[in-house]
Amino acid sequence: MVGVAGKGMRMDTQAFLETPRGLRHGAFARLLSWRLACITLAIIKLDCPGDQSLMSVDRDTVRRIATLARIRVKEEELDQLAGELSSILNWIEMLNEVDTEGVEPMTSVEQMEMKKRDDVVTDGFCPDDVLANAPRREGNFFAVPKVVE
Amino acid sequence: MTDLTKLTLAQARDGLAAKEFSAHELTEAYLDAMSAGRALNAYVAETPDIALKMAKDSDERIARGEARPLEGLPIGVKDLYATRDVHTQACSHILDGFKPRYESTVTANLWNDGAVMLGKLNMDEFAMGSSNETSWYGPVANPWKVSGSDEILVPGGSSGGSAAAVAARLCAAATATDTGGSIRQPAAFTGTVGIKPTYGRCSRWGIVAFASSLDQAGPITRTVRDAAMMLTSMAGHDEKDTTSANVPVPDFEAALGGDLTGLKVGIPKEYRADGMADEITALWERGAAWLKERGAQIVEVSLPHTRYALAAYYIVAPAEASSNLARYDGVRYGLRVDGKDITEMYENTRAEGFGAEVRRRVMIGTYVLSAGYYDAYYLKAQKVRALIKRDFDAAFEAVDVLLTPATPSAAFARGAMTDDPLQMYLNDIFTVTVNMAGLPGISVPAGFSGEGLPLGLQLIGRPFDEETLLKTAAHIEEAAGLDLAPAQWWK
Repeated sequence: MVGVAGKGMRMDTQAFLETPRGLRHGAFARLLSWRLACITLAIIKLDCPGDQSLMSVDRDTVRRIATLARIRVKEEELDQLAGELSSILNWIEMLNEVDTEGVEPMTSVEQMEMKKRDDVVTDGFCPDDVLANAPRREGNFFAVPKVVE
Repeated sequence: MTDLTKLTLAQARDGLAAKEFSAHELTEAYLDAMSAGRALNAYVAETPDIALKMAKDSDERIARGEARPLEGLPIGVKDLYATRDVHTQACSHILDGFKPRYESTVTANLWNDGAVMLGKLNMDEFAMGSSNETSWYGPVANPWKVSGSDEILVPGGSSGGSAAAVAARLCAAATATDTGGSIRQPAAFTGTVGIKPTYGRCSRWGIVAFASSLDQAGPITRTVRDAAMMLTSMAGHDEKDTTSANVPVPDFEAALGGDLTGLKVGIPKEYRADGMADEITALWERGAAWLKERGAQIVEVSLPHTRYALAAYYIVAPAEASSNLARYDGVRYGLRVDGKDITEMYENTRAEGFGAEVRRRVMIGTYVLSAGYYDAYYLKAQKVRALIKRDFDAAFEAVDVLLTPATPSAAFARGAMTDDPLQMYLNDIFTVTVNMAGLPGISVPAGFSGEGLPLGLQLIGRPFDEETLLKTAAHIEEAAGLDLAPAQWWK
């Protein structure tokens, strides 16, 4: 069952099909949820093991990611986030099925050379525009709490 | 006076040219509709003063015989586009109060062609969502409801406000963006036409970035002809966007008409799934039959990596988003939440400023790009992406255009999927492949579900071949012959 809380993150195909999410809003929504689950599982052939994947994310990892992303996460939110991120990352694991030996990563949609221009100043000299939305401005500067320790 | 909001963009253009009514009257009609339509929550910022001024200018130009291609036509703009001195927040709390001192290239193109701005349209926060339920300004209501039901449905996302406004006639057309389906899926859910052009066809300059290798601007309109008009104006090379393609913009409207003799339409077999709703399968078959009647040849093709596209997308898009959203830190614009030092200021601002879905995606992105995981995730996903593109390249050797369903279902109830992010992601299953390959895709209304809700079909084309898409879509539109005016329960 794809869940959002708790320790054992499982993605059991059968359970997922039998207990569709989104039950709050009537029979119609239930039908859609079930149909959606069926189609999508059939298309992506979700066949995940019942066990918790090695790649799932725990509280400490969530803290580390939050620090890297500079987003404060409250202690009481860690478990829920760990659950959500784990289920998404577990699902993404299916890419391991694809043989990408010798395939160049796609770096751009179109074959294109990076366009260049002459290295001259063509814009600027508008500090008022640049600072127009500043939460705190001092002269022609954005004012922030002290950076250097 | 007939209700001017009933006119399509093309009809309004013709009416203005024939002086049947003025640009002022047309704009007033839409401003009235917007006031009456607030229950839908489609607009997050209305700009009546600007609209009336622009309409006045348009009337003067029309009087002088100097009407430009979209002169006097009232447009809604997704909140993701920078509009000079007007609310531009990507419907996020973290951009509170942001009013840019510059205009996006795409909207500048529209105003230079004479269009009138009615206001900014609601959307999922930072374009992350498929239901317009993650907006800081609250959810948008789909103008369509199940026959006999009072339940509010989602309009789809992220361009939910754009789609709802067009369907409910709160604007003559709207701008939108599409990163994984955000034009096509809401268009399908609301009985409107939505086209995501080829990556690079429109400039991304001045559009708040979500995933730079996937984002693309495009219109949502009532008809295929209207979409062609809008795209002609919106598209074009821009030196300020190095990813914009230096290719000429044809008159897309001129591509409409003519039969489909010689057109090969591909049906990708991997899009067919056991358990897919019968009515979606039936619609798809009906669409193919219409095209065949009109001269096309239907060919089955294979896109073997289809089923990996969504997972690859949910690595690439969050990764790029985590990079693009790093700039929202409380320093230069928007919300600032103080902290004891600068790091705390960043962390507090971003914690308070980002909604749950944005936070989730930024964190996934941060994780997959972090040391030790970059190769396993991001590089792997980009390789899978190359394979997805290869599948399409191969298919386009055999066919000219692909026909698929646009969405796995009709619009669902508000709140039905908000508990389960993964299930919400699955809404984009038919649309995501197109962004991953950078191809153009269009959703056109093709039928109704058993419950009376609109359903769309998607066409996918070769790079820069929006003309074939529009031409083919127009045939589906004509064959379907749908009456796409939802009952106006919101007044």
